[in-house]
Amino acid sequence: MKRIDEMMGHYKVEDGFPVEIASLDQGEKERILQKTMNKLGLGETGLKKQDVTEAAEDRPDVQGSRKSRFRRRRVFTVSVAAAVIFSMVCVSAAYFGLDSDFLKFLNPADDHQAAVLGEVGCVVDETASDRGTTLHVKEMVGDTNSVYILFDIIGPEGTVLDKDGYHFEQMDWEVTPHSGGGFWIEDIEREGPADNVLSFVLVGNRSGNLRDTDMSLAVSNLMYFDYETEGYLVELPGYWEVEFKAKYKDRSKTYRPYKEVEYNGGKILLQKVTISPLSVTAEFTGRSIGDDNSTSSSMDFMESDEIPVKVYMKDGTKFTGMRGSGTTTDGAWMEINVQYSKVLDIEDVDYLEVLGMRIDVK
Amino acid sequence: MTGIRAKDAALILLLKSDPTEGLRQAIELYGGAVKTVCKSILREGKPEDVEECVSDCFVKLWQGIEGFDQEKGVSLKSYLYGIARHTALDHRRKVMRVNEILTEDENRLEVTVDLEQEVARRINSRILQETVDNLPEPDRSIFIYRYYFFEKIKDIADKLGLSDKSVENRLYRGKEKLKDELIKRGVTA
Repeated sequence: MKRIDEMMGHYKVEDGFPVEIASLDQGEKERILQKTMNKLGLGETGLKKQDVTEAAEDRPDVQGSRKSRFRRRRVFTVSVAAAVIFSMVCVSAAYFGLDSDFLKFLNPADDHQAAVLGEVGCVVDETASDRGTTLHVKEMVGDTNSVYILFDIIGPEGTVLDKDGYHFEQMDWEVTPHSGGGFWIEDIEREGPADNVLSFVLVGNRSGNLRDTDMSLAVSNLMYFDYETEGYLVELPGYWEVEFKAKYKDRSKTYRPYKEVEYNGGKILLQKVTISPLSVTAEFTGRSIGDDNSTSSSMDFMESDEIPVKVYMKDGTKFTGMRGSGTTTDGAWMEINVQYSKVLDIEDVDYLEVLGMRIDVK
Repeated sequence: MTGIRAKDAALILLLKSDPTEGLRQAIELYGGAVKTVCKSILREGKPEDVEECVSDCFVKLWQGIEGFDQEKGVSLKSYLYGIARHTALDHRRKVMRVNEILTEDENRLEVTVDLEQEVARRINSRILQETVDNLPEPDRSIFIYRYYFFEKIKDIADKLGLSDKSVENRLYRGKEKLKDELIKRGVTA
């Protein structure tokens, strides 16, 4: 082999290599999915999952069939495989109203940060039951564009939930008034859990203000990964839906830099930056955001260095605890939301770097 | 397990258990990355060609998911880059029947590396990987942008704030270093 391009076919590009990723609007995504399904002989994407699963059962690794109870969401479930390793310092539970395992998930660095979370959080305490299993939405914290909701699934007395890969067959998180965004669900470890209880956190973002909105969380069929059949099986069948109001306090600070930044080969205007202990959101307008009026939202799980909004502290360090980010575009408007994996002390922030542009927030 | 590896593991399980949802999420997460590669290689093509190619890539992902081995340290995104590159080059050659992107001159290394035989491929691929990765920056990035992603010289120059000439010089230098290193490590046939 003498040609460099052929040799480079054997080269593995590292995941973090900086490549400007092309945008896909919702229509393109749907068409590509449909074409892919057709080529694989898996039929229409509009079919119920049960039908698609049956069509796929020629594959030895695909097992079982399940009923679709409501429309699918474009969300990504982080399963047990994504168990988060917490570097939590011990904090005194006496200071806070929030559940101690929820606090661990939110990862405050000290008592002060934990107290901040305690102040902004609120109790939900709404339940729904089906076939002996209960969904208990317990608490939530949030800011202008992000939210974390703690909920338990409580199986019938005597159930032992000790399998791997627990997740829900379907999940839905609705916010009224509606705005673009996304969500995912992470399972969390509990201190001395009851055998029949699993805890999860919904991590969500929306382009509109989330505080005081009406929310509903619906999940169906708790499933697990069965290593023998290499497929998913239902552990707890049922459909659970809870409605509640987002009554948490929002401690976000908003800045309006009105600065131009390079994007997509052109310049766009950074209109607004909102920063809170939980997330940062940057809002842009400009023609080079999109050449059509398409609307799309995407959730990304990037390494810290890839995230387009970076936070620098007064002590000269870079804040690196990023959990994930989402981008919502609507024609010439775009919003990037980055959620942290630990608590940010916003008083200690020196400046932000948004798409390479320094933004002072003093 | 890192965030990326955990994310990949969860997506692989989903692709196996629920193809529709797995593919939908794979397209959501990596459709843009795949399109980037297809669009760059099928630059003379219509948007429909690119879309067709992107869907072919996800067909191959699903068909080959059993062969994807996370233990080799390759992420799903990197794996998909490879599928996209190969699929788009194939599409360009067989369907579009247009000229090679790189000129013969630019593409010639003047040494032959055996990447055909299985044992040699395994060893030489690793050496190629290390050699490219050991190029100093920004030469390494320029080399990858040009020879892996087939980006235009001007686009690379704009991206890195260099002149076209500087990018060309660095590509030439990278080629020479690659050639010297491959000869030094005895991988040329």
